[in-house]
Parts: sequence; structure tokens; C-alpha cells
Amino acid sequence: MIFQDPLSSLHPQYRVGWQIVEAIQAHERVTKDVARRRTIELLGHVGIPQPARRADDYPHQFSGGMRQRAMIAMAIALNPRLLIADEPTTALDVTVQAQIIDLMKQLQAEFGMSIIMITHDLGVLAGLADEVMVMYAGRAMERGSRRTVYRNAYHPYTRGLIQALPRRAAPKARLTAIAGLPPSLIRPPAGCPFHPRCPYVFDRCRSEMPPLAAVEPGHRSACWLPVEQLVASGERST
Amino acid sequence: MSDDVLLQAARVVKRFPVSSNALFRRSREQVHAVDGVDLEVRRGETLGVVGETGCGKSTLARCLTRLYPLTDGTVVFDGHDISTLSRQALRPYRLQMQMIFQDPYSSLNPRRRVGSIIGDPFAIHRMAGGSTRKRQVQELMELVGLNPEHYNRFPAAFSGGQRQRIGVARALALRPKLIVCDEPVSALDVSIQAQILNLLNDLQRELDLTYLFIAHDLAVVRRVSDRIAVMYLGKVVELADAEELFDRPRHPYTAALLSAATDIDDEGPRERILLRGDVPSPIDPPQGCRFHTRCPKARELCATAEPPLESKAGDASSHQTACHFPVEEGEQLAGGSTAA
Amino acid sequence: MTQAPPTVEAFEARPVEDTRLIEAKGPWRLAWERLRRDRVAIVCFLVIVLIVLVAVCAPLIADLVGHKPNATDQLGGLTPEGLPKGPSWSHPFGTDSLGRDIFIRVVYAARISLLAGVVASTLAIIVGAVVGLFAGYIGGMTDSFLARTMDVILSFPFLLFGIALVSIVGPSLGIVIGVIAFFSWASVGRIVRGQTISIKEKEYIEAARSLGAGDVRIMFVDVFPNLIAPVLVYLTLLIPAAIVFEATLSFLGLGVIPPTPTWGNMLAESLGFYQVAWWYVLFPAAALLITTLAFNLLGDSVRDALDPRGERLFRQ
Repeated sequence: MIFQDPLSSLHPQYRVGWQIVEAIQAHERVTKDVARRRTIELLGHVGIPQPARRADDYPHQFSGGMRQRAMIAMAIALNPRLLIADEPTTALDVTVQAQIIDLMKQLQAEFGMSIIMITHDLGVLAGLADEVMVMYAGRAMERGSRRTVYRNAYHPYTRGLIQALPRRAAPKARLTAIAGLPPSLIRPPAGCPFHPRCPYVFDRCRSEMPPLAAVEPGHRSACWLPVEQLVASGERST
Repeated sequence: MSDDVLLQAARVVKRFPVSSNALFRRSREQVHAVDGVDLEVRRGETLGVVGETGCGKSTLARCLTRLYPLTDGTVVFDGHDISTLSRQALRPYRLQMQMIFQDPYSSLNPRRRVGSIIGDPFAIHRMAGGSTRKRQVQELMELVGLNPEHYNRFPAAFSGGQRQRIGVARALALRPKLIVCDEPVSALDVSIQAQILNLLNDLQRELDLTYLFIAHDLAVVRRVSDRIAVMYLGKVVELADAEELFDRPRHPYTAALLSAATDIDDEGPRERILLRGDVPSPIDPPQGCRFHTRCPKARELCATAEPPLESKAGDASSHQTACHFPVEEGEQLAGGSTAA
Repeated sequence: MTQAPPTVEAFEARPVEDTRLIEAKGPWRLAWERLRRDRVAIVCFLVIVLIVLVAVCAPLIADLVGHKPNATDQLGGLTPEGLPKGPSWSHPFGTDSLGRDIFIRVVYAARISLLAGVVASTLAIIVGAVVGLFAGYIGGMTDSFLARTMDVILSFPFLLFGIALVSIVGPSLGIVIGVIAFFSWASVGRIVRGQTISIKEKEYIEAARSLGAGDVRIMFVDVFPNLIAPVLVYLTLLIPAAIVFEATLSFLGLGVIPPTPTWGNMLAESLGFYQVAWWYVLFPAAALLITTLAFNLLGDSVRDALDPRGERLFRQ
């Protein structure tokens, strides 16, 4: 798993190389030497220059992008089949973000990993994700292939999110905001948690939680609005 | 200075000493946060300043509003030179230029009530007191979309977006001419960002405001700005009208920034210009052109001579670039490898 | 489904109207509610109130019990061998070596302890907070000077100094309070200085400067409210320390002089008799223990109420 803020998820008082060696030795019976050699190899693999030297540095001596690479090295050290990335690029500059995403794709191809990428940035997923799941108030609201969900979103929350983003195609368009506030998780709204903010709310929404049901093959949405109506209106989030 | 220029900065330099760790050793090192910036902000416009971490944009903003003393250079506001004024002498100018801060959670004093926070400018400048002040504060709250009855609540009762509105109300209290927005939406959820951007836009029209808008998100900057300045390591590397910058970026760094930006209209991974390595430290910036260590087009000249900010052949005079070998029309920059 | 679902039209830009608040209470209100629910805090608070009442009503209690604190009673108060009498109906806590009633002496001693504790602490807090605020905010040479001064004071062996001072000037309650305050303000100052330094870097201070606020205004309007919480906590912990300090000085004979009773000098007197008169040691010691414990536990609860870690949970 890789986390959002590599400065606080790497132990600040231990050398980076040591931390990766510890991770390796926790799961495999190898000598320290072998683990260290593998660590240096991994650090080089994720694009850290002079890995043998950098392995003995502390996290604060790395820049943000390099720290994230080091975290990725630690995550792939044991050849996982699944990599969970929790907002890995949120704290990074956009050019560094591009580098990290590129790195992740590269490693995915090499190691044949599956990746679960958690993010609030729809743009990042556009370049990376095959499937997208949209969550709200602890529930899945929509799920489908990235293309379908982005181009053809059914759930009003997803549409709202997409329409709130400035788009390359229409940079000066007035943004449509989603009215209201994110819900309280202590006293969530009854029925569909999105209903207080939904422009299409009607009475069923206020009392019953809609199930995540198929609206078309490979595309599920949790909303009471009938599919035919959405299709018929011809509205697409272009 | 022509009549329509509200703020003019010339050769602004800001350096910070690096604090040394040893008890008695005085470090000679300095952080070159802003290293020679010329900029002008015209009345009624929104000038966007964009750049990544360490480029100096926040420092520049604070130098322009004289929250920091300048190491060198001049700042002229509305015809008056404010570069070296004392804090006392600056007070009247504080009425005319205000700032909105990035973090809605730390830019409001958690132990003060919202009415008191927004009313601060009136109290500080002894403009209105008692019930007049209260009324004006409540009007401001309505203006930014807050419920004036929440006058006595603490900031903790408000969401991030609402807190940012409180910050906007506070900045507007004395009807300033210039508002410097330091990443006002970076800390907010996407759906709330749109609300605040719409609000700022509406207020600009209604109150005839001028904005200096700092951000690292290109899409946001593009949406709000008339003109955009791109900063890298303490210098402005490109300056142009917003659309012009996006259509025809001339500086390789701008091109890389644009190519690195994500957009939900992307169909899968795009061919991106990947810069080599990381941003160099502002304590010891590279010689010559600061960007040359990462630039896909760098040549010998770039390591020795610093390029001036000027308009290149074929560009409008409003489009200025600081580069020896600017990106040509239709040129594809090589994607650098991810390893430095 | 009684209502037909609405027809789907394009998402319109809704006017920004949502002004509902998060259900969060102000920081003081939250702290108060947390404190109210803390049973330990309530018990300690009641104990302290009781002690204060007892101290205030000491003369009344003296009339009730029928003994005066300094009334020696060689005949009725001592055993035939001349030793202190144990607890009985007329002397609930027994008598001391001079036949005086220990109960009423303990009650009167509470006055001294509370007075010394509260007054000395308050003095220390006021001086320490002001010095710490100025040192932390102004920085530079002023801060260096003040911080070093505080460090020097903190490294004094205060007991030795107290002894020396009292030997020169002579013991009295005023001296005791002065000595306690003198040695306590530096630790308050240190804490306040630290807090001020970290508050100074916050964005809302920068915002105040950008509005044109002067330093003094920022110090008292913006920084100070954020200092109240830590200072309050420290006060509740400083009081028991001051009480013990006073007891220590009195125990060594450097505080309040006999015959005025304080828990400290009562303990000192009891040393010679502990083998035969356990009550002589127990009751003053217990009174001291209960008082300091109550203040300490209350202080812990106040700190938890004002600054629980859980407060950060709902930040977005």
C-alpha cells in the first residue's frame, strides 16, 4: 500500500534503505545483505538516482517525488499482486505527479499488478483507470468502466462532480457547483445519502436507499431515477 | 506609469537566510525565493500566477503586499512607491490591498467569533463601531453567501467552503482595490471549489475588483485569469494572455506543465513531456537559465547565460518568454525519461 | 412511489444558498460539556468546594466543635502520661502534643494552604503569561534575554534559596507566597512562550498583519485567546504544587511559624510522636493528600476537556 503523504508515512528517524530492508525481512527469510541488495535494485528501478548512496539517506533528505518513489519501492518489494494507492499524488506538484503516474503504469505492466487507486482527482483517473467506482458517504454510488462513467454518468452526484470541474474543452464556462455540504457521517440522511443535495430528488429518495443496480451492461448506479428517463432526456456529461 | 496599471513590481528580490544548525556558526546560505521579478497588474483584470512548489509565487504575493520587506526592487501601488515604507506608513495602503489565504482552517482564529473576525478591519482602522459595524459585517456575510444570523458562531461551526467565504468577507470589508488570492481553492473539495470561484467572479464584477490569483492548478487559473504569469524557481518564465498561453506556450516549462495536467476528457494515458528529476533547491539555483537542468531542449548557452523575459519573434507584444530556444509552433518536445 | 420522478433537465447552476452550519459547538462549550460528563472531575470539584467552604467557615466550625485552634489543654487534652489523646467524640481527630484539637487545627490550616496555593499560583500565572507572551511574540534580543532569565530561575535550587531567604528575612506567610510565586512564574513563562511562538506562525496572525493590525493588538486580541486554555490547565496544576511547596517550607520551619497551624508544621511536630500518636501524622497528611490529589485530578480533566486528541477527527 502506498499512502498520501510520504513524509509522514515513512519513519522520519530511520534511513530509507533500512525501512525497506525491514519490510523485506518481515516477510521473507533472507539475510540482511540480500535484502539490502534488493533494496538498492528497487530504488534504482523506481527511478531514484544513485540508489546505493540514497538508500542511506533519511526521508527528509528526499524531495516529495523521490519520497513517493521510495514508498512505491517499498510497496513492490514483495511482488504484490495488488497495490493499493491512497491518494499517492495529492501532495505532489503536477509535473511530479505525471512522473509518478507514469512510473506506476510502468511497474504495473512489468509486475502484472492490479492497482486500486484512491483519489479525489477525476483527471488523474482519466489517464490511469480502467474501471471507476464513485463513493459518497461510505457507499458506492456508481460503478463502471472509466469511459462509461465519465462520458455517460447516470448518478447525479457523478454528474455534479464532472460538471464542477473546469474542462479543457470549455475553459471559461461557468462551473455548476453541487449545492450544500458533504453529509454528517454521525447522522447521515435517511434514504439516499445524496438526497439533500440532489436536484432531482423526489420522495422515494428521502426514505429508501437505492441499491447499486445495473443501468446498462457493465455499468451500475445507485439511484431511483428510472434509466429510461435519463436516456430519453439525452443529457450527457459531454 | 500608465493610468490603468494598479500595481507595478520591478526587479523584486526576496532572499531568506537559511538558519544554521550549529550553535555559533553563521550560515551564509540564502534561499533565493524571488529573484528579480517584473510584473504589472492592471485595473480590473485578474492576473494569474502559476507555478509549482518552490517557485516563489506565495513569497512574491507577500512581497507585493509588503507583508515581507523586500530584499531589493520596487513595488508601486496606484502611483505610490511602497517598497520601503514602514509599517506605520503602510497602514493606509492596507485598506486598499487585501489578501485571501489558502488554508480555511488556519486562516481564521479558532477562538474568535466570526463576526469579530470579519469586523476586524473596521476595528483596526477605527472605521465603524458598535451596531454600525455589526450591520456592515452582516451585510458582508450576505454578500458572500453566508447567513448573517451566524454572526456569533465560531469558525469550527463552518465547513471549509464557508470558512473561505468568511476569509473573503474579511478581505472585502474595507472595499480594497486589489485582492491577492493565495491559492484560495486549493484546500477545498472539487465541488466546493466551483462555488468559491463563482463567488469570486461575481464579486469582481459587482465591486470592480482587481485580482492577483495564485494557484498551482492550471485549469483553475485558466478559468479565472485574463493574463497568466508562469513562475519557476523565483523567476517569471512566461507571461501571456490566458488563452494565448494555453494555445501557444513558448517556454518548455510551460509546455511541460500543460502536458502534465490531467483532464477528465483524456482517453487513457497521454504522451506527456516528462521532465527529468526534481526541482532544484532555491538555496543554490542553477547557473544561467534556472530550468536548464530539467529542460528537454537545453543547450550549452542555457547553462551560462540567463535569458531575459521578452516577447519573441512572431508573438504578440503581450506575450513574453524567458528562453533562448522557445518552443516552436507544432514542435513536439521529447518525453524525458523518468530517471534523472 | 406516490410521486413520479422529476424530468431530468440539465443541471442548472444553483444559487449559492446553503448556509446551514455543521453541528459544531464553540470550543468553550465543547470543553464545558466534556468536563461535565467527567465524573472524576465532578467529584474533585466537589471535594475542592468542600475544602474551600470548610476553610472559609473555620470560625463557625470552631464554635460548633467547641475548640479553638491554638487553645492548649494540658489537662483535658492529654493522657495522664502527658501524651496526645486519640480520636474521640470530643476530639474527632485526636489531640496533639499540647492538647490542642487536631480537627480544628486541620481546618484552620486549610485556610493557609489554600491562600498560599491560590494567591501564589495566580501571581505566578499573571507574571509568567505576560512575560512569556512578550518574549514569544517579540522575539529577537528581548526574547533571548527573557528566555535566559527564565532558564536561570528554573535552574535555581529553589528550596535552598528559599531557606536562605527566609533565614535572612524571617518566616511569614507573605514570604512564603513570594518565594513560591518567584520560582513558579518561570515555568509558566516557558510554556506560554512556546505556545506563543507556535501561534505566531499561524496564518490567522499573518491575516491580521495583512489587515494592518499593530503588534499589541495582535498579541492581545489574536494570540491571547489561544493561550487561555493552556494557562488554565497549568493553573490547576500549579495550585497543588504551590500547596505542597508551602507545606514543605512550613515543615522545615521556614514557613508559617507555630502556633498558627499549617499542614506542614503539624507534620513536623508529629514526627516526635508518630509511634504513639498515629492520628497526629495521619490527619494532616491525609488532608494534604486529598487536597493536592483533588486539584491534580481536576487539572488532568480540565486538560482533557480543553485539548482532547479526538478534536482533530472531523477536519476535512
